[in-house]
Amino acid sequence: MKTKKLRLALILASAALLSACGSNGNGADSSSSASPAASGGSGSSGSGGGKVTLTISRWAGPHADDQKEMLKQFEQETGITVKMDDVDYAQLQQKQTLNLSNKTGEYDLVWAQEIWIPEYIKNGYLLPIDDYVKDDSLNPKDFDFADYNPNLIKIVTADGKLYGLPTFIQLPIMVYNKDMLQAEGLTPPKTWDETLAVAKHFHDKGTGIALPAKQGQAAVDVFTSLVRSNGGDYYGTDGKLNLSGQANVEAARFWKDLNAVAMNGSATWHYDEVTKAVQSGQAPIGLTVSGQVGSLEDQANSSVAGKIGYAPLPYSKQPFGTLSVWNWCVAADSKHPKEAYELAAWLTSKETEKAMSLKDGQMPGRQSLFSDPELSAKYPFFPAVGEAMKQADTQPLSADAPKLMDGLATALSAIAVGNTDPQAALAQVQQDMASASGQ
Amino acid sequence: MAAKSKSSYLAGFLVLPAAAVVVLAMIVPLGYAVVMSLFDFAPGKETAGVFVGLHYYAAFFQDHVALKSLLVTLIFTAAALGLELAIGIGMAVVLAGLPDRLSRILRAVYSMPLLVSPIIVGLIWRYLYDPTFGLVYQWLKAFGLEHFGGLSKPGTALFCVIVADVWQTTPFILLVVTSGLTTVPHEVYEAARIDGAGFWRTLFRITLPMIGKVILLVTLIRGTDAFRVFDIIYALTGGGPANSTLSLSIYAFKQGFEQYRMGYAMAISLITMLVLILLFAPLVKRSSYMEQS
Amino acid sequence: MLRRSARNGFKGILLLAFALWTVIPIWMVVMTSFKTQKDTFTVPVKWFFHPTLDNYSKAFSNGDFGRYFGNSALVAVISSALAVGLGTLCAYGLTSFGMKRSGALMNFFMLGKLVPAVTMLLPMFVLINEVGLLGSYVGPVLAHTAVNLPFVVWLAISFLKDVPRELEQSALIDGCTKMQAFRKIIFPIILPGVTAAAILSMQYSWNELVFALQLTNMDTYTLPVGISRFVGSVSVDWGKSSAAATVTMMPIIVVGFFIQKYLAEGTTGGAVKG
Repeated sequence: MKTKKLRLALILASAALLSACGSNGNGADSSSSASPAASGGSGSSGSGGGKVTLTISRWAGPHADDQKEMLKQFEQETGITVKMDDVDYAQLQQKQTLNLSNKTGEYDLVWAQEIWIPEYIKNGYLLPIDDYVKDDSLNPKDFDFADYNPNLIKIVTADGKLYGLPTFIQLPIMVYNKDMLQAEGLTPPKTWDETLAVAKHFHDKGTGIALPAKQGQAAVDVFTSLVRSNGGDYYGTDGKLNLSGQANVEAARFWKDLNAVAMNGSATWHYDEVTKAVQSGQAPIGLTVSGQVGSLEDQANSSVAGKIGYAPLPYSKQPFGTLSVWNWCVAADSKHPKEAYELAAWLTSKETEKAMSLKDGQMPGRQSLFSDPELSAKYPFFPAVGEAMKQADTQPLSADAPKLMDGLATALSAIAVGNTDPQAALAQVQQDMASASGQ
Repeated sequence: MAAKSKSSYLAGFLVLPAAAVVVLAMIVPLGYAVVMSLFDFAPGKETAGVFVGLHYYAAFFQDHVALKSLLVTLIFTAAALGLELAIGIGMAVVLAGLPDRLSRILRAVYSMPLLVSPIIVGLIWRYLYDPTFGLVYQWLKAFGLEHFGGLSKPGTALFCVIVADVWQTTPFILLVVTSGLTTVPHEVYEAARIDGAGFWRTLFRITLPMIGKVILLVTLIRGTDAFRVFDIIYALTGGGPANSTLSLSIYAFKQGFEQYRMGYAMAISLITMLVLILLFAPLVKRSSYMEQS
Repeated sequence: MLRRSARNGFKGILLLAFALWTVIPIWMVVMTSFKTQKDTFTVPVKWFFHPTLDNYSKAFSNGDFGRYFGNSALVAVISSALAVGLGTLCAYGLTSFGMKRSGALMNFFMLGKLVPAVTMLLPMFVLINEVGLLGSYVGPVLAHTAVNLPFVVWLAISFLKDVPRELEQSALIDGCTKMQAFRKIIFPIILPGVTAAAILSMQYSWNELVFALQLTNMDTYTLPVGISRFVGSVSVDWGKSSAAATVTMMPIIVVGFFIQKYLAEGTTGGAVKG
């Protein structure tokens, strides 16, 4: 009996040893063969003659389907074939990371979220595009680089080099059902206190405010907006993490209070479910994200089309929105970087962005479109978002941001379900971050 | 002598291809994981990795989130396995007493969830558990239980995930145990009946011991799967609320692909494996196929 | 007499309850796939409604389901054939040659059952990319074969142990070679077990997502990758997801219905009597 146990352990050890040798060899291989592949990739840009096929990576969904339609126009204009590899959002970062880090050349253009960008740049996954931006032969006619929101350009810039073009902005916003508020004699809330009062009113009647309080990034985005609207910040003026500041704790208390008057189930909801709850006429008021509200005005599927009001998130001192933005970035291992850039420029051009916005209400990275009369007529929330954009900022994009986001997601989930004291929860994240950086 | 060595060549020849596949797809990655768990590196940056020795293994035991996920994984495994065994064996015993055709049809119906993809299982249960639209809450409401926390409360979320897992994998145990029961000779039951043994007595004294090896086998298969649980939790809760459903596999995935701490992710999954070995080695030892007779 | 019928009644209720517990969740998906979005989000759940095929035409129009289906079938058949073929032969090699280290070798295969998928993914990706086979069927086939092999070996061993030694002995005396004895005498006896192993292997391969997504590309995606594009975290379209889910699960459920007899016989077989 005993020998068998021993043997099991031995097998494990020897197998590990055996393969350790194997993988060492393999590791050396990959490093030696990766460099010529990489240099070959960036050198072969002048492939003007043959027919070019670009593969682009992004998440799947209705927006992707609309974009596929748009791409046909690009193919017609340029003769370049574009294949869209749209996968589930949950697997997207992993798929991009595996391909970009192994220099597989699979993707020419990737759609990346602002919080992924620092790691992508640091690890050398992306190609600087400054030279291409200056090359008018690659840009659409009314390119007008200055029209890109400068705050967004900052996100894709590192060490003075540009790594992508911004498009598809999302901001958490508040939506409310005008009819339902009116029926109760309530006015649309703006501040924290007003929002709590309205939510409580409905909560007493069995519903409440719909919140994206599932453990995840949505709750963190909303919370960051609350913090900043209260004059708080995660980092002190000295650049050090300071989560337990008074303004931050107040925001966390508000998050707790708001969750106490939230709709049943909010603690498992992401933006999608909030939007669905409002769309079906169940929720009188909710916090969701700008990229989804187009579906609320969709006559075919929404029972509340035309009845919805839009406002910035509830604020304490001044309105604030946490900006999330998707960027088209040329892969460092693309075999056709020029054409990939050309596509990125085309996709983010004023004309294409406006057409996409008209299709599904997406928010572009182009400032001029927020004052476009045609768009504002179709989407009443456009001016509100444009207004919010002025005070908007992204999540911190420092090296330890992913860990901070994860820590906050856990803390906010615990606060939302009433499992912990807001102040203690923030202090815990602060402590975890400190011990992680000390490691 | 010559014939003997020739046949052992043949034996080697038969074993080799299978062993090669396992080495290629399992053991080499395992070795890679062992080596890379000693480095601080991001994907694609293996060569630029910084050697940190056993740091990540030490860090695991100081990381309260990691320890919590270990606990969650242990609870999940124990509860899911326990329920699945109890229900699976119970239903198998009931099925065994039925006419052949009826039990065959019922078995086919009962085995359906086993064949459904985990993504779809996630879809199904997310919909069922939705407090506004889902069936679960509509029925709970009928009993005045609409305040049940469901997936939204740390106290109940893990339970809800376990229920979904039980739904999907109990059929596996049911099927295996059913056919195990058919091999118990009829005379044994007859003898028990003549001796005047009641239902429960027959069950615990005769039936279960006779299929002990089958139970061991399914415990081993299901147990190792449950301990590495990923899909169903990822689909239902993503590890929340408040990390109350965070399993080791999900934590490793998050560390590796969301936070780019690949070395730590490797260390976590290796620790997962070591715990698995500790837990199930005694069972492997006892399982029938091990015995060299 | 009364007690007996009470017990039967209880049994009946139990069997029915378990059947409902099994079927209702699946039925909900099938039902949702025929509902309009407004019907889907009506509370309480509508059991009777005006069915529509909209969701199916939507799912089929922008999901390349024909190709996914073909890829799934190909990957599932090849990987199961490999797992079962190699696994059965390996089990034969391990059990009937009196090999010295066979116990240790069995443990070695057991180890394969313990490796977490997260551990396998990155190294396998690097490996397959190195040999230039990324995006081909090789990735998912290799991964699925490897995951299934330990299980198949294990199962086959327990079946082989049930075959009386004398059968093989007498075949050898009659002048059969070892392999002939396997093919003509032993294999037919363990066939139900082999079938079961094949079905369970296929079921895994048909439903597996991570390897099928990360080691492949647009041309080689399988059905689970296709559904995950609808069920995804960004805006769940319940109707379309349900239609895609129904299309994916029905073939394997129907297949399962016809062969579940083997499925049950297979998974135990030897181990039971051993």
